[in-house]
Amino acid sequence: MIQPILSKRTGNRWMFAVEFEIHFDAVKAWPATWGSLWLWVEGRVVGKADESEMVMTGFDSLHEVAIETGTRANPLLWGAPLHDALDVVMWARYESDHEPALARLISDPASLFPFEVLPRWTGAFFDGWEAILLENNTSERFIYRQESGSPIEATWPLGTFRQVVNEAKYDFEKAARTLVTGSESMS
Amino acid sequence: MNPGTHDPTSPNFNPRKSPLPSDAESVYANAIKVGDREPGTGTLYFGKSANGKYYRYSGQNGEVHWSGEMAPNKVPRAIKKQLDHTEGS
Repeated sequence: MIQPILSKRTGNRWMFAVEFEIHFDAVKAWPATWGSLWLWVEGRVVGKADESEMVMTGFDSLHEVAIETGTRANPLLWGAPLHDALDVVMWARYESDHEPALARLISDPASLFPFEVLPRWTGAFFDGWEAILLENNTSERFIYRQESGSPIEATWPLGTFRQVVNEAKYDFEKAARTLVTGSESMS
Repeated sequence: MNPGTHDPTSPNFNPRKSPLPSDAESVYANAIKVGDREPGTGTLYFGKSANGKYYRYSGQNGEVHWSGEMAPNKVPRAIKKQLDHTEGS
């Protein structure tokens, strides 16, 4: 049985939060420390909380999303139905059996890459989940779904995703390094 | 390549995970790394087995492990095209 030796949630799970665990057998393996990682969006779990993986695999990808904050203004996606916006961003990165409704309006599919949050490069933690972020001047909309499910939307102030992810990643690195070395120093 | 928690012979084996396929190591040898990422991030690879299955590999600091078989529509289009092309060449 997995033995978590540390768990921590960052953010407000009734809006947006990141939660991680560090698992006992993996504490000597920094930065390949194993554990679990999932999100909370308006009280719901997003991700596979029963997955055990290298935690930084998930954090690195979420961090890459975070640093692109401010680049996701797109009137076409903003005004589209939730499933159309999700479909076209997923189509841009991955193959699809059908061309989504908005695809013909996209001249460069790579221009939609910054909108993808999940799965992106998060690895096994978010298998079966899809999510995108859309922004305007003051808010960001997190649109997500579990495979074959209906899309759900949450809206919060612009920069919330970046702030929570960066704080959680910092907390994880600090905890994992401390468990391995006994020192909190961050390089 | 580290088998992670997928090796049934390892004490770290997680029974809820898919068992490590026998060709995971050989497929990794020709796997394609996800590029255009931020410096200092972990590594992610995708490979294709001789019988047409797509594998994902995750890693940190040079330690890489098999992290699952992926449906074709979950492999990034550009990487899938390279893997399919390599197979056909």
